[in-house]
Amino acid sequence: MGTLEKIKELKALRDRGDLTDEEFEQAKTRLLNERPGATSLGWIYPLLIVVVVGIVFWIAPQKKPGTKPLNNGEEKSAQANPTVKPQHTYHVFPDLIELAAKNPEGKEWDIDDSGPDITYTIHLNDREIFTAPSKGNDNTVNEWGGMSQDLNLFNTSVSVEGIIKAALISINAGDTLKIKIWDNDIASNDEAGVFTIKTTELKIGQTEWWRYGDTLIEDRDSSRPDASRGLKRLRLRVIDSDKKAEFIASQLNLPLEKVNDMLKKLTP
Amino acid sequence: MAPSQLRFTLALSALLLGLGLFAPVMTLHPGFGSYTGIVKALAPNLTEPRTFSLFGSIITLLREGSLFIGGLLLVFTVLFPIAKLGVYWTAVDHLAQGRGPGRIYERLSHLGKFSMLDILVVALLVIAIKGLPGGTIITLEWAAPAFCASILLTLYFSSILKTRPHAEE
Repeated sequence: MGTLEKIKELKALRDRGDLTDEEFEQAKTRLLNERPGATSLGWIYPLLIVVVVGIVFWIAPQKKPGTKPLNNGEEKSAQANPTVKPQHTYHVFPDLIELAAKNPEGKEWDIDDSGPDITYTIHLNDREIFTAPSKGNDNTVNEWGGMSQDLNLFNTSVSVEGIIKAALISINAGDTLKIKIWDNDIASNDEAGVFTIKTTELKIGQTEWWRYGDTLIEDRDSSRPDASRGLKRLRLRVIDSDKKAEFIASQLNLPLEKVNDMLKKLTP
Repeated sequence: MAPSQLRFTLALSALLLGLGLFAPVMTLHPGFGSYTGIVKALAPNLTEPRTFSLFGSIITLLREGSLFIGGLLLVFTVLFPIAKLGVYWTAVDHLAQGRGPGRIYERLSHLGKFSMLDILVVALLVIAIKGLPGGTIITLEWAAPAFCASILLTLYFSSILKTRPHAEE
Protein backbone atom coordinates (compact mmCIF):
# COMPACT_ATOMS: atom_id res chain seq x y z
CA MET A 1 0.00 0.00 0.00
CA GLY A 2 1.41 3.40 -0.99
CA THR A 3 1.69 6.45 1.24
CA LEU A 4 -1.19 8.19 -0.54
CA GLU A 5 -3.53 5.27 0.11
CA LYS A 6 -2.49 5.16 3.74
CA ILE A 7 -3.23 8.86 4.16
CA LYS A 8 -6.62 8.35 2.49
CA GLU A 9 -7.32 5.56 4.92
CA LEU A 10 -6.36 7.75 7.89
CA LYS A 11 -8.59 10.49 6.54
CA ALA A 12 -11.50 8.09 6.30
CA LEU A 13 -10.90 7.06 9.92
CA ARG A 14 -10.89 10.70 10.97
CA ASP A 15 -14.08 11.38 8.98
CA ARG A 16 -15.77 8.44 10.70
CA GLY A 17 -14.64 9.87 14.03
CA ASP A 18 -12.32 6.98 14.87
CA LEU A 19 -9.36 9.38 14.94
CA THR A 20 -9.19 12.88 16.32
CA ASP A 21 -7.72 15.68 14.20
CA GLU A 22 -4.64 15.63 16.43
CA GLU A 23 -4.17 11.87 16.07
CA PHE A 24 -4.70 12.18 12.34
CA GLU A 25 -2.04 14.86 12.03
CA GLN A 26 0.41 12.89 14.15
CA ALA A 27 -0.14 9.76 12.13
CA LYS A 28 0.14 11.69 8.87
CA THR A 29 3.38 13.35 9.97
CA ARG A 30 4.83 9.99 11.07
CA LEU A 31 3.81 8.46 7.77
CA LEU A 32 5.34 11.26 5.70
CA ASN A 33 8.56 11.23 7.72
CA GLU A 34 8.84 7.48 7.69
CA ARG A 35 12.19 6.34 6.36
CA PRO A 36 11.59 4.62 3.04
CA GLY A 37 12.69 1.00 3.17
CA ALA A 38 16.00 0.56 1.48
CA THR A 39 15.51 -1.61 -1.56
CA SER A 40 17.27 -4.86 -0.73
CA LEU A 41 18.92 -6.76 -3.51
CA GLY A 42 20.01 -9.46 -1.08
CA TRP A 43 17.49 -11.92 -2.53
CA ILE A 44 19.66 -12.24 -5.63
CA TYR A 45 22.65 -13.77 -3.77
CA PRO A 46 21.16 -17.24 -3.15
CA LEU A 47 20.05 -17.32 -6.79
CA LEU A 48 23.55 -16.35 -7.92
CA ILE A 49 25.17 -19.05 -5.77
CA VAL A 50 22.87 -21.73 -7.15
CA VAL A 51 23.39 -20.52 -10.74
CA VAL A 52 27.20 -20.47 -10.32
CA VAL A 53 27.16 -24.06 -8.99
CA GLY A 54 24.97 -25.02 -11.95
CA ILE A 55 27.39 -23.39 -14.42
CA VAL A 56 30.36 -25.15 -12.80
CA PHE A 57 28.64 -28.52 -13.21
CA TRP A 58 27.58 -27.61 -16.75
CA ILE A 59 31.14 -26.76 -17.79
CA ALA A 60 33.04 -29.40 -15.82
CA PRO A 61 33.22 -32.76 -17.61
CA GLN A 62 31.19 -35.35 -15.75
CA LYS A 63 32.80 -38.68 -15.02
CA LYS A 64 30.68 -41.54 -16.29
CA PRO A 65 29.81 -44.01 -13.57
CA GLY A 66 30.95 -46.90 -15.71
CA THR A 67 34.46 -45.48 -15.82
CA LYS A 68 34.93 -45.59 -12.07
CA PRO A 69 38.10 -47.52 -11.29
CA LEU A 70 36.76 -48.76 -7.94
CA ASN A 71 34.50 -51.32 -9.54
CA ASN A 72 37.19 -53.18 -11.35
CA GLY A 73 40.75 -53.35 -10.19
CA GLU A 74 41.44 -55.89 -12.89
CA GLU A 75 40.61 -53.47 -15.71
CA LYS A 76 43.03 -50.95 -14.29
CA SER A 77 45.81 -53.45 -14.07
CA ALA A 78 44.97 -54.81 -17.49
CA GLN A 79 46.01 -51.53 -19.08
CA ALA A 80 49.54 -52.06 -17.90
CA ASN A 81 49.16 -55.84 -18.36
CA PRO A 82 51.32 -56.96 -15.47
CA THR A 83 52.47 -60.56 -15.59
CA VAL A 84 51.18 -63.13 -13.16
CA LYS A 85 52.83 -63.85 -9.80
CA PRO A 86 54.42 -67.24 -9.15
CA GLN A 87 52.62 -69.59 -6.77
CA HIS A 88 49.41 -67.65 -7.16
CA THR A 89 46.14 -68.84 -8.64
CA TYR A 90 44.36 -67.37 -11.63
CA HIS A 91 41.29 -68.02 -13.73
CA VAL A 92 42.12 -68.29 -17.46
CA PHE A 93 39.81 -68.49 -20.45
CA PRO A 94 39.66 -67.22 -24.04
CA ASP A 95 36.88 -64.64 -24.11
CA LEU A 96 37.04 -64.37 -27.91
CA ILE A 97 38.21 -66.71 -30.66
CA GLU A 98 38.13 -65.84 -34.34
CA LEU A 99 38.81 -68.24 -37.15
CA ALA A 100 39.58 -67.50 -40.78
CA ALA A 101 36.96 -68.25 -43.42
CA LYS A 102 38.78 -71.50 -44.37
CA ASN A 103 39.99 -74.36 -42.25
CA PRO A 104 43.78 -75.11 -41.98
CA GLU A 105 43.56 -77.23 -45.15
CA GLY A 106 42.13 -74.30 -47.07
CA LYS A 107 38.66 -75.88 -47.33
CA GLU A 108 35.26 -74.75 -46.14
CA TRP A 109 34.64 -75.50 -42.46
CA ASP A 110 31.46 -77.43 -43.18
CA ILE A 111 30.17 -79.33 -46.19
CA ASP A 112 27.06 -77.18 -46.38
CA ASP A 113 29.23 -74.00 -46.47
CA SER A 114 28.03 -72.98 -43.02
CA GLY A 115 30.49 -71.44 -40.55
CA PRO A 116 32.35 -73.32 -37.84
CA ASP A 117 30.91 -74.18 -34.41
CA ILE A 118 33.90 -72.94 -32.41
CA THR A 119 34.82 -74.62 -29.15
CA TYR A 120 37.99 -75.18 -27.13
CA THR A 121 39.67 -77.07 -24.31
CA ILE A 122 42.38 -75.81 -21.96
CA HIS A 123 45.33 -78.06 -21.13
CA LEU A 124 47.99 -77.68 -18.49
CA ASN A 125 51.13 -79.65 -19.37
CA ASP A 126 49.07 -81.68 -21.88
CA ARG A 127 46.47 -82.58 -19.27
CA GLU A 128 42.96 -81.34 -20.05
CA ILE A 129 41.73 -79.16 -17.20
CA PHE A 130 38.82 -77.25 -18.71
CA THR A 131 36.27 -77.55 -21.52
CA ALA A 132 34.43 -74.63 -23.07
CA PRO A 133 31.03 -74.19 -21.37
CA SER A 134 29.39 -73.54 -24.75
CA LYS A 135 30.22 -73.62 -28.42
CA GLY A 136 29.69 -71.16 -31.24
CA ASN A 137 27.10 -71.69 -33.93
CA ASP A 138 28.00 -71.40 -37.61
CA ASN A 139 30.15 -68.36 -37.08
CA THR A 140 33.86 -67.66 -37.51
CA VAL A 141 33.92 -65.69 -34.28
CA ASN A 142 32.62 -66.50 -30.83
CA GLU A 143 32.75 -64.93 -27.38
CA TRP A 144 32.60 -66.38 -23.86
CA GLY A 145 31.71 -64.30 -20.83
CA GLY A 146 33.52 -66.48 -18.32
CA MET A 147 30.40 -66.63 -16.18
CA SER A 148 27.85 -69.31 -15.50
CA GLN A 149 25.05 -68.82 -18.02
CA ASP A 150 22.30 -69.92 -15.66
CA LEU A 151 23.57 -67.67 -12.89
CA ASN A 152 20.82 -66.11 -10.88
CA LEU A 153 21.98 -63.93 -8.04
CA PHE A 154 19.05 -64.95 -5.93
CA ASN A 155 19.48 -68.62 -6.57
CA THR A 156 21.52 -69.81 -3.64
CA SER A 157 21.99 -73.23 -5.15
CA VAL A 158 24.75 -71.76 -7.33
CA SER A 159 28.16 -72.45 -5.82
CA VAL A 160 30.98 -69.93 -5.69
CA GLU A 161 33.17 -72.35 -7.64
CA GLY A 162 30.51 -72.72 -10.34
CA ILE A 163 30.05 -69.04 -11.09
CA ILE A 164 33.26 -68.46 -13.04
CA LYS A 165 33.58 -70.61 -16.12
CA ALA A 166 37.32 -70.66 -16.63
CA ALA A 167 40.34 -72.86 -15.95
CA LEU A 168 41.83 -72.36 -12.53
CA ILE A 169 45.60 -72.62 -12.64
CA SER A 170 48.49 -72.09 -10.28
CA ILE A 171 51.59 -70.42 -11.67
CA ASN A 172 54.60 -72.69 -11.53
CA ALA A 173 57.82 -72.30 -13.47
CA GLY A 174 58.02 -74.62 -16.46
CA ASP A 175 54.26 -75.18 -16.77
CA THR A 176 52.75 -74.78 -20.22
CA LEU A 177 49.20 -73.81 -20.97
CA LYS A 178 47.59 -74.88 -24.22
CA ILE A 179 44.26 -73.94 -25.70
CA LYS A 180 43.11 -76.32 -28.40
CA ILE A 181 40.51 -74.89 -30.74
CA TRP A 182 38.37 -76.75 -33.21
CA ASP A 183 35.15 -76.71 -35.19
CA ASN A 184 32.75 -79.01 -33.41
CA ASP A 185 30.99 -81.16 -36.00
CA ILE A 186 28.69 -84.14 -35.61
CA ALA A 187 30.71 -86.29 -37.96
CA SER A 188 34.31 -85.23 -37.37
CA ASN A 189 35.85 -82.23 -35.68
CA ASP A 190 38.12 -79.90 -37.64
CA GLU A 191 41.19 -78.76 -35.76
CA ALA A 192 41.51 -74.98 -36.01
CA GLY A 193 44.72 -74.34 -34.13
CA VAL A 194 46.55 -74.45 -30.80
CA PHE A 195 47.55 -71.53 -28.66
CA THR A 196 50.51 -72.29 -26.40
CA ILE A 197 52.05 -70.13 -23.68
CA LYS A 198 54.19 -70.63 -20.59
CA THR A 199 52.07 -69.91 -17.52
CA THR A 200 54.73 -67.55 -16.14
CA GLU A 201 54.30 -65.40 -19.25
CA LEU A 202 50.57 -64.90 -18.78
CA LYS A 203 49.43 -61.33 -18.28
CA ILE A 204 46.59 -60.24 -16.06
CA GLY A 205 43.56 -58.82 -17.89
CA GLN A 206 42.92 -59.15 -21.60
CA THR A 207 45.61 -59.85 -24.17
CA GLU A 208 44.88 -60.31 -27.83
CA TRP A 209 46.91 -62.74 -29.89
CA TRP A 210 47.01 -62.83 -33.70
CA ARG A 211 48.35 -65.69 -35.74
CA TYR A 212 50.88 -65.02 -38.48
CA GLY A 213 52.16 -68.21 -40.09
CA ASP A 214 53.01 -70.69 -37.34
CA THR A 215 53.33 -68.16 -34.54
CA LEU A 216 50.88 -66.15 -32.50
CA ILE A 217 51.99 -62.66 -31.54
CA GLU A 218 50.48 -60.23 -29.09
CA ASP A 219 48.52 -57.46 -30.83
CA ARG A 220 47.78 -57.14 -34.49
CA ASP A 221 50.53 -56.39 -36.97
CA SER A 222 48.84 -54.28 -39.63
CA SER A 223 51.82 -54.60 -41.95
CA ARG A 224 51.20 -58.33 -42.36
CA PRO A 225 48.16 -60.07 -43.85
CA ASP A 226 45.80 -61.70 -41.37
CA ALA A 227 45.70 -65.50 -41.27
CA SER A 228 43.51 -66.83 -44.07
CA ARG A 229 43.23 -70.39 -42.69
CA GLY A 230 42.44 -71.84 -39.29
CA LEU A 231 42.90 -69.82 -36.12
CA LYS A 232 43.09 -66.12 -36.78
CA ARG A 233 42.76 -64.40 -33.41
CA LEU A 234 42.40 -65.32 -29.74
CA ARG A 235 41.73 -62.97 -26.85
CA LEU A 236 42.88 -64.38 -23.56
CA ARG A 237 41.56 -63.27 -20.22
CA VAL A 238 43.40 -63.85 -16.97
CA ILE A 239 41.73 -63.02 -13.66
CA ASP A 240 43.38 -63.00 -10.29
CA SER A 241 41.43 -65.54 -8.22
CA ASP A 242 41.51 -63.09 -5.30
CA LYS A 243 39.60 -60.62 -7.44
CA LYS A 244 36.75 -62.92 -8.30
CA ALA A 245 34.18 -60.49 -6.89
CA GLU A 246 35.51 -57.61 -9.02
CA PHE A 247 35.29 -59.77 -12.14
CA ILE A 248 31.72 -60.88 -11.39
CA ALA A 249 30.73 -57.29 -10.62
CA SER A 250 32.16 -56.05 -13.91
CA GLN A 251 30.56 -58.84 -15.96
CA LEU A 252 27.14 -58.51 -14.34
CA ASN A 253 27.34 -54.74 -14.04
CA LEU A 254 26.60 -54.85 -10.36
CA PRO A 255 28.05 -52.87 -7.46
CA LEU A 256 30.96 -54.67 -5.88
CA GLU A 257 29.31 -54.60 -2.43
CA LYS A 258 26.31 -56.53 -3.73
CA VAL A 259 28.53 -59.22 -5.27
CA ASN A 260 30.54 -59.49 -2.08
CA ASP A 261 27.30 -59.97 -0.13
CA MET A 262 26.18 -62.60 -2.62
CA LEU A 263 29.49 -64.47 -2.40
CA LYS A 264 29.30 -64.43 1.40
CA LYS A 265 25.85 -66.00 1.21
CA LEU A 266 27.03 -68.65 -1.24
CA THR A 267 30.13 -69.56 0.73
CA PRO A 268 29.27 -72.52 2.96
CA MET B 1 22.92 -14.73 15.76
CA ALA B 2 24.43 -11.72 14.00
CA PRO B 3 23.21 -10.82 10.50
CA SER B 4 26.59 -11.83 9.06
CA GLN B 5 26.21 -15.30 10.59
CA LEU B 6 22.66 -15.54 9.28
CA ARG B 7 23.86 -14.60 5.80
CA PHE B 8 26.64 -17.20 6.04
CA THR B 9 24.04 -19.85 6.94
CA LEU B 10 21.95 -18.82 3.94
CA ALA B 11 24.96 -18.81 1.61
CA LEU B 12 25.89 -22.30 2.82
CA SER B 13 22.33 -23.46 2.30
CA ALA B 14 22.34 -21.98 -1.24
CA LEU B 15 25.64 -23.73 -2.01
CA LEU B 16 24.27 -27.06 -0.77
CA LEU B 17 21.10 -26.48 -2.77
CA GLY B 18 23.14 -25.81 -5.91
CA LEU B 19 25.13 -29.01 -5.34
CA GLY B 20 21.94 -30.92 -4.59
CA LEU B 21 20.35 -29.77 -7.82
CA PHE B 22 23.26 -30.10 -10.24
CA ALA B 23 25.58 -32.75 -8.80
CA PRO B 24 24.90 -36.47 -9.37
CA VAL B 25 21.97 -37.42 -7.15
CA MET B 26 21.56 -41.07 -8.09
CA THR B 27 23.06 -43.78 -10.24
CA LEU B 28 20.90 -46.34 -11.96
CA HIS B 29 22.39 -49.77 -12.51
CA PRO B 30 20.02 -51.33 -15.05
CA GLY B 31 19.17 -54.97 -14.51
CA PHE B 32 17.44 -57.40 -16.84
CA GLY B 33 17.01 -60.32 -14.50
CA SER B 34 18.53 -63.54 -15.70
CA TYR B 35 18.93 -61.96 -19.16
CA THR B 36 21.42 -59.36 -17.91
CA GLY B 37 24.36 -61.26 -19.38
CA ILE B 38 22.65 -61.59 -22.76
CA VAL B 39 21.63 -57.92 -22.87
CA LYS B 40 25.16 -56.95 -21.88
CA ALA B 41 26.49 -58.95 -24.80
CA LEU B 42 23.95 -57.70 -27.35
CA ALA B 43 23.52 -54.10 -26.24
CA PRO B 44 26.17 -53.15 -23.69
CA ASN B 45 24.95 -49.55 -23.63
CA LEU B 46 21.67 -50.64 -22.06
CA THR B 47 23.41 -52.15 -19.06
CA GLU B 48 25.76 -49.24 -18.44
CA PRO B 49 25.16 -47.44 -15.14
CA ARG B 50 23.66 -44.01 -15.61
CA THR B 51 23.97 -41.04 -13.29
CA PHE B 52 21.33 -38.37 -12.96
CA SER B 53 21.16 -34.95 -11.40
CA LEU B 54 17.91 -33.63 -9.99
CA PHE B 55 17.86 -30.64 -12.33
CA GLY B 56 18.82 -32.73 -15.37
CA SER B 57 16.05 -35.21 -14.60
CA ILE B 58 13.48 -32.43 -14.33
CA ILE B 59 14.57 -30.94 -17.66
CA THR B 60 14.36 -34.39 -19.24
CA LEU B 61 10.84 -34.83 -17.87
CA LEU B 62 9.77 -31.48 -19.29
CA ARG B 63 11.38 -32.20 -22.66
CA GLU B 64 9.66 -35.55 -22.84
CA GLY B 65 6.29 -33.92 -22.31
CA SER B 66 5.67 -34.80 -18.65
CA LEU B 67 4.72 -31.21 -17.98
CA PHE B 68 2.70 -31.81 -14.82
CA ILE B 69 5.21 -33.85 -12.86
CA GLY B 70 8.13 -31.90 -14.37
CA GLY B 71 6.48 -28.59 -13.52
CA LEU B 72 5.61 -29.75 -10.01
CA LEU B 73 9.19 -30.83 -9.40
CA LEU B 74 10.56 -27.64 -10.93
CA VAL B 75 8.39 -25.48 -8.68
CA PHE B 76 8.87 -27.33 -5.39
CA THR B 77 12.41 -28.60 -5.86
CA VAL B 78 14.09 -25.72 -7.69
CA LEU B 79 12.12 -22.49 -7.68
CA PHE B 80 10.53 -22.64 -4.23
CA PRO B 81 13.75 -23.37 -2.29
CA ILE B 82 15.62 -20.64 -4.22
CA ALA B 83 12.79 -18.15 -3.66
CA LYS B 84 12.70 -19.07 0.01
CA LEU B 85 16.41 -18.41 0.38
CA GLY B 86 16.03 -15.10 -1.46
CA VAL B 87 13.22 -13.99 0.83
CA TYR B 88 15.18 -15.06 3.92
CA TRP B 89 18.18 -13.06 2.72
CA THR B 90 15.94 -10.02 2.27
CA ALA B 91 14.51 -10.62 5.76
CA VAL B 92 18.04 -10.60 7.19
CA ASP B 93 18.73 -7.32 5.38
CA HIS B 94 15.55 -5.85 6.90
CA LEU B 95 16.51 -7.05 10.37
CA ALA B 96 19.98 -5.54 9.94
CA GLN B 97 18.27 -2.21 9.16
CA GLY B 98 16.28 -2.48 12.37
CA ARG B 99 13.03 -3.33 10.63
CA GLY B 100 10.80 -6.39 10.74
CA PRO B 101 11.51 -9.29 8.38
CA GLY B 102 8.74 -8.20 6.03
CA ARG B 103 5.37 -9.49 4.92
CA ILE B 104 6.68 -11.81 2.24
CA TYR B 105 8.77 -13.57 4.85
CA GLU B 106 5.76 -14.04 7.09
CA ARG B 107 3.65 -15.33 4.22
CA LEU B 108 6.43 -17.65 3.11
CA SER B 109 6.80 -18.99 6.64
CA HIS B 110 3.25 -20.35 6.34
CA LEU B 111 4.33 -22.16 3.19
CA GLY B 112 7.33 -23.59 5.01
CA LYS B 113 5.75 -27.02 5.27
CA PHE B 114 6.00 -27.36 1.50
CA SER B 115 9.78 -27.39 1.82
CA MET B 116 9.48 -30.99 3.06
CA LEU B 117 7.71 -31.85 -0.15
CA ASP B 118 10.95 -31.86 -2.12
CA ILE B 119 12.48 -34.46 0.20
CA LEU B 120 9.34 -36.50 -0.13
CA VAL B 121 9.48 -36.27 -3.92
CA VAL B 122 13.08 -37.52 -3.99
CA ALA B 123 12.18 -40.35 -1.63
CA LEU B 124 9.21 -41.33 -3.78
CA LEU B 125 11.35 -41.32 -6.91
CA VAL B 126 13.90 -43.59 -5.27
CA ILE B 127 11.24 -45.98 -4.00
CA ALA B 128 9.53 -46.02 -7.39
CA ILE B 129 12.68 -46.90 -9.28
CA LYS B 130 13.78 -49.37 -6.62
CA GLY B 131 10.56 -51.22 -7.30
CA LEU B 132 11.49 -51.93 -10.91
CA PRO B 133 11.94 -55.57 -11.80
CA GLY B 134 15.02 -57.20 -13.24
CA GLY B 135 17.40 -56.40 -10.42
CA THR B 136 17.73 -52.72 -11.33
CA ILE B 137 19.54 -50.98 -8.53
CA ILE B 138 19.56 -47.33 -7.51
CA THR B 139 22.46 -45.95 -5.55
CA LEU B 140 22.16 -42.50 -4.06
CA GLU B 141 25.05 -40.14 -4.80
CA TRP B 142 26.36 -37.31 -2.68
CA ALA B 143 24.00 -34.68 -4.10
CA ALA B 144 21.09 -36.30 -2.24
CA PRO B 145 22.49 -35.61 1.26
CA ALA B 146 23.61 -32.15 0.06
CA PHE B 147 20.07 -31.37 -1.05
CA CYS B 148 18.54 -32.64 2.19
CA ALA B 149 21.13 -30.70 4.22
CA SER B 150 20.19 -27.52 2.35
CA ILE B 151 16.49 -27.98 3.12
CA LEU B 152 17.18 -28.81 6.77
CA LEU B 153 19.50 -25.81 7.09
CA THR B 154 16.76 -23.59 5.66
CA LEU B 155 14.27 -25.01 8.17
CA TYR B 156 16.74 -24.38 10.99
CA PHE B 157 17.24 -20.84 9.71
CA SER B 158 13.50 -20.27 9.62
CA SER B 159 13.15 -21.47 13.21
CA ILE B 160 15.90 -19.21 14.55
CA LEU B 161 14.48 -16.25 12.66
CA LYS B 162 11.04 -16.87 14.18
CA THR B 163 12.42 -16.93 17.71
CA ARG B 164 14.48 -13.80 17.09
CA PRO B 165 12.93 -10.67 18.66
CA HIS B 166 11.95 -8.43 15.76
CA ALA B 167 12.44 -4.74 15.77
CA GLU B 168 9.24 -2.76 15.67
CA GLU B 169 7.95 -2.06 12.22
